[in-house]
Amino acid sequence: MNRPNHIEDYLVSLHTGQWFGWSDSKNKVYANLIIHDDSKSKPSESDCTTGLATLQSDYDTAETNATTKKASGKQKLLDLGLTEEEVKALIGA
Amino acid sequence: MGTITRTFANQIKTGGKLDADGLDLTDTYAFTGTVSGAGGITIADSWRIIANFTSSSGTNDFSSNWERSDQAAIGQIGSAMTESSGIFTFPSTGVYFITAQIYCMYSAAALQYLGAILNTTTNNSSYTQIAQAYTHIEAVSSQHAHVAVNTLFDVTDTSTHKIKFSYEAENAFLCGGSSVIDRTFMRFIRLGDT
Repeated sequence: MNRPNHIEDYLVSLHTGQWFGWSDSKNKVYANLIIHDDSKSKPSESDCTTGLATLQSDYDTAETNATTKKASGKQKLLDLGLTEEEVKALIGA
Repeated sequence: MGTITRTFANQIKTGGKLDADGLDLTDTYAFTGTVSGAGGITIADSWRIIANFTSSSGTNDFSSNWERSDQAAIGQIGSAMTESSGIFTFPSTGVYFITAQIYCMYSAAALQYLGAILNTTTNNSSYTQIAQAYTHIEAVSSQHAHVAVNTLFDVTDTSTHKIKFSYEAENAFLCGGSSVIDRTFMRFIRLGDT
């Protein structure tokens, strides 16, 4: 998964189905956001920007956690007596 | 097979017949006549989904967010398909080769099956599945996949013969769409007369 970088990434997380679209497909800005599904309400622009920021923060946190856990796991393997080469063969780093 | 309706008049020798050596293939032929019924591709078109979306589970049509692929590098031939709520209408009768692809990504759960399905109608009302293809997505956050399906469709009447694209998913997946690159798309090529 790539790092979220557009309000579309937030919109797809809100509901399933093709509930939203763009009046100008080449200019995907909030002003061009359209709602296809009458049962879904249009999120505000601030909801979109805040939601995107939250997704980015969550992504960054998950990436950091993954890196930290990988380093921690590697160290534990080394502490058990495995060599650097053996650890690299196991986890690729 | 059709016929050439005009001859290469200026290559015909005196008396209206070719000489014993036939045409000289090293000559330049300034053909200005009309060739009819000789086949060839007269329609080629491409459409795509313009936005990512999280699918629903079950069987659902790609009912919105279609646009004609319009990168400069993509060349279309002949008249365009028309689309309304995911239903495609052909510009003229004929036998068409239709191919479609879903670009899919893991969303929140693995999928044992994800199908790409082409559905046709011959009465502009009831649709029948005409082609299927399936893939799966494992429970890995970066899992990407695609599934493609194709068929031939004999369009004898453009007012009654139509086609739509749908998916069948065990669970929700992230469907790739873009307005600048073809990810989930359909292509239509008219092969010849019905």
